[in-house]
Amino acid sequence: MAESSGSVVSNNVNTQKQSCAVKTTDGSEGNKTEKVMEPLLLEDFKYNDEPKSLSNLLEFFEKNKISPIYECSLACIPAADDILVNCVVKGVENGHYNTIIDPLTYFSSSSTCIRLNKLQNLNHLSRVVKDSVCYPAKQVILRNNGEIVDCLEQLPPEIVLFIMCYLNIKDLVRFGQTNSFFYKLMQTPKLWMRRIKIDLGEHV
Amino acid sequence: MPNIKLQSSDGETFEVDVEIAKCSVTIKTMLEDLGMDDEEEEVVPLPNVNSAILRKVIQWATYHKDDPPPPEDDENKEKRTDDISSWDADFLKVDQGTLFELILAANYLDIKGLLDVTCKTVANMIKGKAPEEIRKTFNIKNDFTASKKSRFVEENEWCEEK
Repeated sequence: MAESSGSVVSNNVNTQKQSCAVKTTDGSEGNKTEKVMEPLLLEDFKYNDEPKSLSNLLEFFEKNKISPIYECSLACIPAADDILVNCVVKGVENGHYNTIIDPLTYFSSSSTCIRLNKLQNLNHLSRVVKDSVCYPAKQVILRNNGEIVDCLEQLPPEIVLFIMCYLNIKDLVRFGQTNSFFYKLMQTPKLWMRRIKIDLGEHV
Repeated sequence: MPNIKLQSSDGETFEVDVEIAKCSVTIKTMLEDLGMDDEEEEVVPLPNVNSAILRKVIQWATYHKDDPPPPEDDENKEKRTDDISSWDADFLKVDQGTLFELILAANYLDIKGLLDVTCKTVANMIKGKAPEEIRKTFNIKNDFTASKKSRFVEENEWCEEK
């Protein structure tokens, strides 16, 4: 069984190995302003042995706990009648995605007969790979570069307040204790006016 | 029915029934204000929504196209979170990053039904949990000092005893 693997070169993953610049901008995150991390120049770091080759350089990064390079590899593994597509973003927690593709849906079994509907399915295939492999991998990379909203604190306050409207007093207070940002939001008078009206209802 | 083309931030174009697209108040207003003609080939750019999220939003809007408009929020009534339909619950079985992006997209596109159901989902993830569990669920950093923490215990006794 042949196993083919190779690197996914996603347009937002630049691995400029010489200057070690991590540049992760592409048009697809249009709501974010262009954010390019300052190139990390080797001169910025103190080291004794000047890295001479790429492997030296990578070693150097590992030793100094610098990880400006996110590598993403994609492997297509034949598994019985299916193809298992496996994607790993290296050096990242949860950077693992896979999906199963049934080749018969996408490819004609005969090399001479290509049906139109099979060709149309290729569109679907590209979507499957994009959505279940490339997209999550990209999210992980963007997240690691702090360019994506992946935590509650990054949502605009008005949305967090909207979510808080769904909580009862006990949950509200407990949520407010998680960190200072939510503590501050929890103290919004309007939230409590609402709670008083609901909880005491006719009594006020 | 006439179609309209929506273009995501990464340049993918989606052809959608105008009526479905109009569940977004933002798009509806845009079409009305700009007098975009139904007959012309219009492409509406949505620079704040990427293709993966836009595809999900369209999927949601298509499923809910015949829904009555969501009722206005009643300020004095408890908002329920246990009324998420099973289709929506399934639809929202996504990672947190995607869920937050759907919230942002629903907010930007002004789709009240989608904003409601996504925010309810987040609220349900908070409900009934201790602060530490909430932090764990959302990966929230605890930035309080020890003295502040002990003050919480006193401050919040009244509601914890309920």
